Amino acid sequence: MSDISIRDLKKTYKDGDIEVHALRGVNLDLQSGEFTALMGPSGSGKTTLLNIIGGLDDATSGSVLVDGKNLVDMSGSQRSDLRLNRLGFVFQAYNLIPVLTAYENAEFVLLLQGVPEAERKKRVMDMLDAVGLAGMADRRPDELSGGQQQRVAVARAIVSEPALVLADEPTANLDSTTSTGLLETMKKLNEERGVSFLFSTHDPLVMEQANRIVRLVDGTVADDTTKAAPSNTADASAGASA
Amino acid sequence: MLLLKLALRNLRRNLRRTLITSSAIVFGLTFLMFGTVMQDGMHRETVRSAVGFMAGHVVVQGKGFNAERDAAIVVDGVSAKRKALQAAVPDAQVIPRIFMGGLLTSPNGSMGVSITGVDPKAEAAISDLDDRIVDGEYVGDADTDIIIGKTLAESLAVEVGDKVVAMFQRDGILESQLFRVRGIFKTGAAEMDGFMTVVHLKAAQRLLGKEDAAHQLALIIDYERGLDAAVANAAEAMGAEATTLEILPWQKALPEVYDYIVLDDVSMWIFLLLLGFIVAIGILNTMLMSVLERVREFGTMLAVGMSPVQLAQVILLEGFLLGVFASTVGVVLGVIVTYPIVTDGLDYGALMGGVDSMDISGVPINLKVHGFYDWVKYPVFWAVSVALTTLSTVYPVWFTSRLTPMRAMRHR
Repeated sequence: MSDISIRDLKKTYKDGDIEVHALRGVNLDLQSGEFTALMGPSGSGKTTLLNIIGGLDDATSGSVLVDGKNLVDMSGSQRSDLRLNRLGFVFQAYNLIPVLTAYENAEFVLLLQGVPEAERKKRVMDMLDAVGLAGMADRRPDELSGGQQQRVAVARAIVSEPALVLADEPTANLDSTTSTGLLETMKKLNEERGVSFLFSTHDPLVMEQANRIVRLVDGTVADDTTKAAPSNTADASAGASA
Repeated sequence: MLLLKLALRNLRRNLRRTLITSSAIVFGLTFLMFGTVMQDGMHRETVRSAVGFMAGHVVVQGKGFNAERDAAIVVDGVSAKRKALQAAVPDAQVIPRIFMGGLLTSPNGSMGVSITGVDPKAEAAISDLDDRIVDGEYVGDADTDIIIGKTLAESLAVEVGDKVVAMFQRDGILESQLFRVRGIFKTGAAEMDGFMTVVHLKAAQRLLGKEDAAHQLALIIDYERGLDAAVANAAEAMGAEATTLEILPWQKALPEVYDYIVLDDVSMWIFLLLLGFIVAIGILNTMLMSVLERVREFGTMLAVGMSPVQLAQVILLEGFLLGVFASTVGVVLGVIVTYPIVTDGLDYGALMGGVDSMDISGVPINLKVHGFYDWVKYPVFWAVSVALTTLSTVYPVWFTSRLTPMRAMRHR
């Protein structure tokens, strides 16, 4: 993935007569392969930032550079193209298409991209297997549990090999066991396939898995912490004794 | 294929609503088919009766006769011309006729009448008049035979077998001839029953003072089939004399009948437009409801990269597929429902409380009407119905075109 560079990003919208400053000049750089959590209290601007990076909302000012191009200046069709080919989305409410099966939901983006059938089939089945749903390809969303639906959403988000997956509160509607399982799957995809993730979350389980935590307060970045890579204790001990 | 799959699945997901919406189109089309099958049957019956009683599908007359109906405008050499026309249009029946106005007197009174001279055998083959004899018989070979309408018989107080005298003014001289009433007819058309008389062609020629002449040579052919060709062939058969004649299709020979049919058609089309508009409004409402229910789903599709154009195509396809399905069922059901009326006919007289007969523009109509399938119309009905159903999605498509992914996903 090319890096995403955000500079002085502002978002103001009107709530009746009141102006709400959702983002007040965010500066942030996202690197390839990161598993990043945006955290902060409600109203801190997490979802707004995620939506702007995803081309789903307009910024008031500032820049979001993707592949050297400013997303803020892109037309609707250019952003649509960006979402189709460079980004993946996982929503809080799963947002699967109810008339399509798990396989067809995961396949949806590949169809829009025009991927040939044989390759589509291979990638979709491979991804459903990776998220633990290999035997449920023919089920419709109303035949799946919440956790299973979210796994389908993750498969849909990743199967097109996006540069970045944007996940807005993906565990909010799930119990802790299901959330843990889902997060482990996403972490595995991050580590094995290098898929970058950016979460908007309150969930401590997400923060536990994240290797970078960006804390937003009142529309600005208050804190940006990258966790140190876990040390290999056994090697360290062997090295020390050698 | 993805868009088609989505459209089909969306129609199936709320099957009850899809079927109810379809039923509006199906019943509308079936009703339309019923109306037009009956109307086309009635029109055919009107034309058949009119050409049988008063004209032909093609008529050959002296120039100016159609407008003036002047007894002095005749076609001479009728026998030879009849043969020539028969050779030129072999499938036609060629019928000579004489039309005169005169006076019919009996011992009990006198009445102004129309006197029609016919070739009895040829005329009986194409006219219903011989079927409408209520007393006595149709005109025979005797040139003293006369048949008259029932109302006229009552006015003159005559019965079958009685003598009457027909008078006709020719060149200032009153010609008269004695006839014996051979039959009395009842058509249901007041003008015919009260004023029409029919005699042998020879008797009419004698009254006219012209041997081998007639006012009209009527060509009876298959309805509408080869009408233009018959007119052209008849004109060619008349050769140089064609310039002294008028060779007219029935639409020009019987303008009131034609105008009635055109007016009836226009009324039907106006009614159909209104019906179509009402059905389209209902479909628009249903399509709009179905779109509003799915706004959040559309938001997701747009968010993951579907273009607004593709989304519009899905909705348009839904309308189109619904239209194709329902319109096909409607037309097929219309054909099935009207089949008994085409084969067995519908007795309008019984539906009108036992009415015997009726006339349209002076033409007596058989009230047992057989429907008629005009196969040219039904693909048009189908196509218009599909187009209207598809067009009813235009507003929902416009609505979705204004959606942004985020606004759509937050829609309540």
